[in-house]
Amino acid sequence: MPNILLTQKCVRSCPYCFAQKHMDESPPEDMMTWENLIYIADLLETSGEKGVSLLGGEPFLHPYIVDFVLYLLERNLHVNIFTSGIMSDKMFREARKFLSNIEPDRLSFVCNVNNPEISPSSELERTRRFLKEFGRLTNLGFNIYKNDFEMDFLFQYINEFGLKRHIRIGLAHPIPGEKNVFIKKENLPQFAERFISYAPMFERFRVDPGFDCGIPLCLFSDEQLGKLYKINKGNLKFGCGPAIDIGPDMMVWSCFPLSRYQKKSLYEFDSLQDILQFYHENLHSKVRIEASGIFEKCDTCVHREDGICTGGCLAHNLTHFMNEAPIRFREVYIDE
Amino acid sequence: MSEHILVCPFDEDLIGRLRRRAIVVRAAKFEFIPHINRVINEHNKLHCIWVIDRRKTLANIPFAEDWLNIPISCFIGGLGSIKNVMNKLSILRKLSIRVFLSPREGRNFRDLMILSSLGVNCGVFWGNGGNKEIDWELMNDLMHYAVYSRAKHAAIEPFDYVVSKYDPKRPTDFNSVYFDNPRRYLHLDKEENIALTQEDLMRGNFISKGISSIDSIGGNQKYIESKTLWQEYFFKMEECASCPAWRICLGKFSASLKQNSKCKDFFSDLLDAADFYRSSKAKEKVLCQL
Amino acid sequence: MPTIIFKASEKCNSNCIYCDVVERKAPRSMSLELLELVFQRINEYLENKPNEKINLTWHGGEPCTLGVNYFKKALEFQDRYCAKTKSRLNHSIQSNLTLINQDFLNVFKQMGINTIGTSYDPIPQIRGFGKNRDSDAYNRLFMRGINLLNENSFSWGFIYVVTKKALEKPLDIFYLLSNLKLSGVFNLHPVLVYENDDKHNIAITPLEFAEFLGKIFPVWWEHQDRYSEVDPFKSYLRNYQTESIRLGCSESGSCAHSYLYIGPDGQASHCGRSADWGILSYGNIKFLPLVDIFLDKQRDILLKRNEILLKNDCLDCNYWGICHGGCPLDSYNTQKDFLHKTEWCEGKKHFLKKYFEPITGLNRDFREKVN
Repeated sequence: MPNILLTQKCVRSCPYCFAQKHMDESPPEDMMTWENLIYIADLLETSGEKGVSLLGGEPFLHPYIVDFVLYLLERNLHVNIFTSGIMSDKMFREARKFLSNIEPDRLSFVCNVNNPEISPSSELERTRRFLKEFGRLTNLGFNIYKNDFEMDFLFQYINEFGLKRHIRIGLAHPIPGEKNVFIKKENLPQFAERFISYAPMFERFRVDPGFDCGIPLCLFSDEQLGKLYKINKGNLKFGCGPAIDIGPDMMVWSCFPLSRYQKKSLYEFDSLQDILQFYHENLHSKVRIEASGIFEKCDTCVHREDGICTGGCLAHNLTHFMNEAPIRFREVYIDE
Repeated sequence: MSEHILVCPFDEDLIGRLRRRAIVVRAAKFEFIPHINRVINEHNKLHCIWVIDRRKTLANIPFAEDWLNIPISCFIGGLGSIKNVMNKLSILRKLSIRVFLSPREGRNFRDLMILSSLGVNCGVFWGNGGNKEIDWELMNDLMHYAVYSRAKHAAIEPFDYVVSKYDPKRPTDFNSVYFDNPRRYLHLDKEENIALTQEDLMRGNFISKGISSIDSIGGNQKYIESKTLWQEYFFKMEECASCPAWRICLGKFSASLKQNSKCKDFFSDLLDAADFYRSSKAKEKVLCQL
Repeated sequence: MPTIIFKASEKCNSNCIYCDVVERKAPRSMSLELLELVFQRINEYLENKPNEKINLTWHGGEPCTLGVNYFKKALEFQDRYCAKTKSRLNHSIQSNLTLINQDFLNVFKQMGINTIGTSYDPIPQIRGFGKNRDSDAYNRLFMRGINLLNENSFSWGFIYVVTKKALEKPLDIFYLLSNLKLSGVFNLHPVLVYENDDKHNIAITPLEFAEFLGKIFPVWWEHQDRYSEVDPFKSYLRNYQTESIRLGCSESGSCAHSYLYIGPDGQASHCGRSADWGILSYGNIKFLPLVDIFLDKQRDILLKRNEILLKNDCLDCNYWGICHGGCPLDSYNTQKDFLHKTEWCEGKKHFLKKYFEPITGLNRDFREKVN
């Protein structure tokens, strides 16, 4: 499912954000136009794609987002929106009027939330307003960037607002060329430990976690994997499958952390499959040849070879090459 | 009986005097559509109801189920609220309707693309649009979308007409899309004055009077002369005569060409598109009917 | 099939700038008496040659100045004298169309004519009436003629004579001509001026003509479906691509015994141009049968021409097979004999080498062996 960036502006400044630099460098008026959206929808249709994600920055900053969503739904695409839930009152009224009665099999939200204790009250209020209205369509998203993270509030939100019983867990990785906050490689096992400590809450509230890309299998012991298996209903995934992102300027890249690698114009491709193939052949494979995973032991890992784990975040892999002389495949270096 | 389709206002007296004719009715209000359909089809055949109401937007037209199977063309001000249009899509897709917008408003090009991509037949209508300059580049973008987009979409006129009817050996007059081609349509007013085009009718340039004269219109001197009016461009060596796209434009934008050559560029591209469409069709397999 | 260029009249209602005939002070028309003899001579010829056909091309001046009755008389003479041979007699006609009416078309149909060759120029004062060459009036009547042809299902093709004035806007001219006639043929031909007598400053050089064609050719090549029947492009393409080469009289190298001109006084010459330029007189039909005229010894030089050119001017020329040194009259025009290639050869080669071959990617060796 490709991601369409409606805007490069955001309403928050999350410390783990991997897009901050990209957004700072993009003109704020750079917003998705109708003509470009139609072109993308056409491309998706001819590629046989059934769904699309809308994101930003904050997609609800785009003045036409509700029109866009209704349009994409009429194009028979499932629409998933990544949002903080923070939007103007006017936009909220509009969204409520036109989107809240749409069926979950057509429209969904992933609301990325931060710990309430670190969130300003005005932001919190708007997020809660959003969750109250759109709860039945919404999964929570939570990004972990330090080891002393708290997840209790997530279960509270799910119960209070009747949200979908699933949490999308993201793990912040170092992004090539960015100065974002992340958990260092050597401290990742503590992340695993702390995460598993929440297993009883997942079980009690019958919520299942889904790992966003880039969490290696070996962070977890066999016992921890067993617990994970149970709370996840057997849907364990340790893969990194970089999504395709399409910017408002019709540039395309493979996953935001990799946005400085081989950015291309969407017009250079005839189908989504072409795009996927291009990045698989020209970036992902090349990186994995140079470094199989974020750990050295990934090179000889049987689970990676068997395809159960992809060795963590691809962008994280690339940080290995940031400060060395260019002796490897050209593709693993940032485009100048 | 003449094979011309008559274009006339909805006047029940006039309609009552017509028999076994194909008729395009010019209507000012959408609400009259079912009634017009009933009245026309009593003794004649409804070809289309042509509603011109620029105050209306698609969002505020009162579409109704009893409009089903009634051929409708409408020239309106714009889409209006896209959200409201989306609400009406289910019925809009069922209707035999073609929605025309003026090319003199830039946003209409976008709106036509939206409509077409959602399966609603639509088009640009140059007439009655005022004096604003046409953005030929946006027109070209729309045309490219209409002809070359691989995704399924509804026809956008007059591009679809041009590419599908185009024959390099004959002129293609897309005025048929607007019921303004004298070879196919004659315009009639309540007093039974007959003109070759709507503009002629409005200006009083009649060629004949009386319903009875319709069947012998082929012998009407002004009608005969109208067939060769195009030759004037060649006598004066007007720029249109040496335009590569003459055969699909026929000098409709001669005033525009005097100011700049953008219409020439656009229609040249449209002609290329017509050639492309034609050669693509020629490559399609045609299996025998079993 | 031999062709008779039949100039029954030198009279013309137009004053085309490049016409040699129009310069004549006292244009002549053939008497009915002589017209009758023409058909007798034709019958004589066809009886003598049971396997031959004749193409009789009515030419001028403007043939329609003869009036409808003249053509009716021609038909009458044909029926009377060629009763058994008329099936082998084809009529064709070149006309400026300005005098055409329904009566003419009716008699043309009876003569078996269903296509008319003509000429047209959109540039003012190239073709027109009177001293000032009123081209507006001319073109209106021309169009009226075209409309009449269309209504009567006649086909028509035209020659566009390229003059100096056309050189500055080749594509405009090309598009206009293509728009005028969306289907069918037109032929781009350079103006031919005899003995450099270019009093109207219309002459063009072979290179200029080649460049004129060169501006148009890429457009034609890219859009052949649109502009199918434009010569010389169509002919070149066909000759490059197929085994059987078809050439007009100027390039065929075989006009020696296949062309005959009959003028208003019965004088015979080789073709229309040779008569207009006063070259190659073959006598008069009043005194000679057509068989003898076709065998006139002067024609032998035209036959020999091929042999001589192959050993001299055209030695080893790749394009011999589609050129044959050009029209012998053009050779005479500049060299005062028939035994040289024409100046137009260089123009032809220039066009083929610079434009035609690179654009089409076609290449062919048209050399023939000398026996």
